[in-house]
Amino acid sequence: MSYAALHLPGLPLTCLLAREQIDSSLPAALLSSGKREKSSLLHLNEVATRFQLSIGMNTTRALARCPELTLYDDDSKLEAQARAEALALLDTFTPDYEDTGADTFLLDLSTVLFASREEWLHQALEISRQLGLPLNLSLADTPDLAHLAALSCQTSSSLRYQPKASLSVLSEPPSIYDLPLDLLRRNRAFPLPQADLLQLWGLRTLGDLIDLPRQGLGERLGPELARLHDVLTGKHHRLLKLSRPRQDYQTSHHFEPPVEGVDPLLFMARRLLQVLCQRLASQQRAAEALHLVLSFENGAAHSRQLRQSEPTLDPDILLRSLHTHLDSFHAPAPISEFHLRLLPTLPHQAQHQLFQRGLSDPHKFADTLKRLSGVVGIDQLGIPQPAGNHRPGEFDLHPLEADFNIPTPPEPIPAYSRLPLKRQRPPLVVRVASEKRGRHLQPLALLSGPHQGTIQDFRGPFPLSGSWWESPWQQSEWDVALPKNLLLQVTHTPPHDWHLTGIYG
Amino acid sequence: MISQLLERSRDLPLALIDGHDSFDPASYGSEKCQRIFWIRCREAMQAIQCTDLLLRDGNLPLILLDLHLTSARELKRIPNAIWHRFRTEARASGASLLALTPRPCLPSPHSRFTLSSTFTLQNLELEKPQLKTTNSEEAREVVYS
Repeated sequence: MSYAALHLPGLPLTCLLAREQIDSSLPAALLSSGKREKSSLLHLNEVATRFQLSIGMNTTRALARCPELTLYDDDSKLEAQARAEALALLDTFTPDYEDTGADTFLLDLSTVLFASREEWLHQALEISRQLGLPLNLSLADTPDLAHLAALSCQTSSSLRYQPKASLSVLSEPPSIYDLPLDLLRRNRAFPLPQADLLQLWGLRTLGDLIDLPRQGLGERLGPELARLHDVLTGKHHRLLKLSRPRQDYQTSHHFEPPVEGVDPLLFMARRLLQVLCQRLASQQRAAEALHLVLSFENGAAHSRQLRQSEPTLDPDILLRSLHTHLDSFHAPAPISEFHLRLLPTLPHQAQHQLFQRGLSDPHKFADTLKRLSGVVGIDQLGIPQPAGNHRPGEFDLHPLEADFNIPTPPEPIPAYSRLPLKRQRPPLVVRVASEKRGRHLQPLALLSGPHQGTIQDFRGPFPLSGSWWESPWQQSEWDVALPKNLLLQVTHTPPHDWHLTGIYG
Repeated sequence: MISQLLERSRDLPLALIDGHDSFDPASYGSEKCQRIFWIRCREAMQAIQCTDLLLRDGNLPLILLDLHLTSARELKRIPNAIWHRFRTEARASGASLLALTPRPCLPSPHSRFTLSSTFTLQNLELEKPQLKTTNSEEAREVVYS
């Protein structure tokens, strides 16, 4: 007896009746959506079935047979809420269960210890009272046999509220073979479209069906009948499709009274992050980012996603990134509430190279990068890349990630000279004595600036221009040698501007 | 010198803390620039802050602090205690700090080198210069030729 089935008969209707506290001794039915004249019956309570009403019958006909019939519209939200409550209840019985259908759940009890069958059923039914819904509970050796037994209150233990609240535990339940074939006529788990034909053959119960040879059933009526035969004889033992509740990795804390400093927030955040990390660990996941939302006393809010350099399960690392962010953040008012959410991902696994050195602590480096950005500005650090405008001295900086994933630049950085240049940023305006040679002015001496003197030797001119289609620029570069082996780069911008742009060496 | 450091540094980028925003990537080419983590500072104290952060981090093995174009007045404002702290932090984290200054101002470096060079305009078209070491009494002198 390692499987149990919990069946909530007519759940969409019974949860409506339970919420409205309607006397279920009166006939009631749930209608399909659409116009009432054209709608049909979706579910009936037990009293309604006594008036020869059946599921699928149209409303007019049903009211003609039973004028006292109360009709209800479908309330999917209420049904979903009832199902969620049922799933939460099942989670207290065992973590291994299957959400089999709209009104049935199968439980794997192989890991649950219980003294006797009756004791477990009694305890489970007692706990199930909190649902406030009628239900059937059965035990069997296979999941499908337990499911079949739970479909009828004759073969299962049950909880009922009408005419009065009662709990019945069957110590020796009757065999499911006595159940009528009609029970499976509209069942989705065990469809039996040939029920009419079988009844014509004189078969009335499930027991009659298993008396027939399996092979003949399969050949004449199809493989579904052969499968049902296997289920009824216990030969078919399927695996449950276990249902896992959706885990959320978020939590909130409300400060009463609101706090002004960072320390109380970090103190609480550390505790909450530990819980969230444990939740992640139980699902074999790690956090790739931490989402923080701060609510302030004046109604303002602040949210920020703190992405980690690599997925982590260490609350200290997450707390450090939170601390770094809060250090540079100025709250407009005392903090009244904060909300933390971890974005789950698969843990990072990498094979380290034997002869290659990597970062010893990527999280710490990511944190350091953020701090460096705070000192010099986010656009002032990174890997140099060509700016794309071919103007000397202008470069873009590709942000450095902790994994050093650097894209290849679209075009290479051209190497202009063999000697390294120390650029003067911004270029220093200097006065230069010059004379006209051809189309260019040739420098003769530097008259102002930090390096002055007669030019002893020169290379140039190297005329450069660009962006003629929007903001054109044009200049001529000269490499000049001053006394004491000082090599400089000066630039002439027509008509008369000279700049010191760099020093070689 | 940066060029030769980049030839040796393979796995992790060289952290270049540019104290005067004077680094010119065009002097080194694409391949070497891919291995430079360039931090452009506007003043010496920013460069000192960045050095402090990287030394405490300890992930990058080589940090080059370029204060070559920093004025003597600005260099004097850096307290000696900072250089001592850098030395302690570098020792703790296993990183190496190479500081380029226009004159000797670090109080107790592990090694001190004096770089000198004599170039003419013809060198701009010749092979890249190489560092050569010569011995002197006070410090090892490195000649760029």
